[in-house]
Amino acid sequence: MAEKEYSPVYKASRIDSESGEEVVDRISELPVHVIHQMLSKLHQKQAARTSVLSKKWYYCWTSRPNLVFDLLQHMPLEKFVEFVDQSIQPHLEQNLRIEEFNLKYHDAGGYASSHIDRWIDLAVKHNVRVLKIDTLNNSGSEKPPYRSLPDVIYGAENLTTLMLSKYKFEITSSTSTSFCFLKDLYLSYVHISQSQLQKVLDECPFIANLSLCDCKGISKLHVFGGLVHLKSLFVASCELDNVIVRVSNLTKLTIIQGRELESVEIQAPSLLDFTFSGDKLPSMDPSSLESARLQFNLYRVLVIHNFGDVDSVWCTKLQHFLRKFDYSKVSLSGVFYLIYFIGNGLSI
Amino acid sequence: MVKLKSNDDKEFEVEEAAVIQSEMIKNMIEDGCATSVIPLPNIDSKTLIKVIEYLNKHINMGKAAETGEEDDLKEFDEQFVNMGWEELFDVIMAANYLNIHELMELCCQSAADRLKNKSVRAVREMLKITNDLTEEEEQEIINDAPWAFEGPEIDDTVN
Repeated sequence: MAEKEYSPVYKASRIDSESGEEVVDRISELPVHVIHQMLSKLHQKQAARTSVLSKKWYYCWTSRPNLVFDLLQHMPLEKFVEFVDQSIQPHLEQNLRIEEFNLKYHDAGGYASSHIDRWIDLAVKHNVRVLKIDTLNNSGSEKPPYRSLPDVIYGAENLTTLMLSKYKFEITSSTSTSFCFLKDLYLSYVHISQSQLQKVLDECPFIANLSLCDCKGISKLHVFGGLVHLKSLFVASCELDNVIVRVSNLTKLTIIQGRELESVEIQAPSLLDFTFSGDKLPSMDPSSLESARLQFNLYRVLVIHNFGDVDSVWCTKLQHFLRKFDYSKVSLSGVFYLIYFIGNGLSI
Repeated sequence: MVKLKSNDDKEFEVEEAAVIQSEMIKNMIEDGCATSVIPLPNIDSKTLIKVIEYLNKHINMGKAAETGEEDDLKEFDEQFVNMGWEELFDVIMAANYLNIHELMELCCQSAADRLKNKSVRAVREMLKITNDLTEEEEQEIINDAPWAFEGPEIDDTVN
């Protein structure tokens, strides 16, 4: 559509045919990068709709640095591929910046894989900073196979945000990862070994947000001192048996684990917000907390005759733990409904 | 104190700590180019007053977070962008010229919020955009992404 190319001599005012007054189109006078910034705040559908406003807006839409495809999850593959290819084309032709490449597509059969790898490659070559790839099909109960993470990602030195699902990390100790400015790392249904995760954390000192959801390969999560920028840590359903968190500036921590979790040790003096679900009491000083949501699942109590010393010891520990909260500032909510069955002696 | 001069020749004194939220002025100060009055030929006094109000309120963002004044700041921001389109464009142009990142974010977000779910016709009318596309061109663009132009949520009102 070469004929629709944006002409720099844009006529920003016109004479209204009815009133005869001059109508000034102020928004179209804004520099293209400002309109890009506005587009990045719009929902994908609304942003796409601006393409038909005028030639300038068509140009702004096609040259947008934030390539977001999060609405077309159920579009037939062929159409989806055509749309993404078409969207990325101007960036290739005019060597435009790609700030963000964000793709969400229900790709249960993995048919889009080769295309997605190709797009990741292009995005990284265009110095992408925010890369989000989500191809999980949430409705399916069967777990899809992991796919190898394209090597090009390890060399993506401009990355600040990386969000992945359904991938398997294949770095070894000798692989060099270049994304040392990474601030946000969100992994969901990703296979990453303990040493691989450790290597990533060691090499990304600026990480502020770390989220691991339904990840396999790690049994011990140890997050230690070097990550002074880490503000938020979210861990859920990762089959961990051991969590040690010692981070000075962490303010938000969520741990949602099942029975396998053996021990949790937290040293986070700046922690304000804490969510915990599990059956072991975390070892921590909760006095800095402003908000806490606790859920203890005591599977034992379901067997009535097992009610005895073990549980009363646990209850004493819980009471002790709860005393350490600073009730002048904390908003605490907990699900103790299972404890209620056994907790006649428990005054909380 | 740093002195700023609007394009209608009015001078304003602003604390250095506030004014260095503008990358442009921060660079000028660092380069030693801000010894006398800084002329701002693109900004009128009405807009400059708004921008200075924002800078003064947002001075030391970190301090606000520590003292729990974040909610206060959020409320201020909401009130701040409660202005007409014309005024919003003036502030955006000023924030762009002065390179004030947070203010740009705030104003662009406000513009985006106002356009939420609006139909093409409504957006053109609200923003007084002159459509210079032919009907054929328009249809061709729509055909590229038909999903963007349909749906029950599309709002054709202009306020």
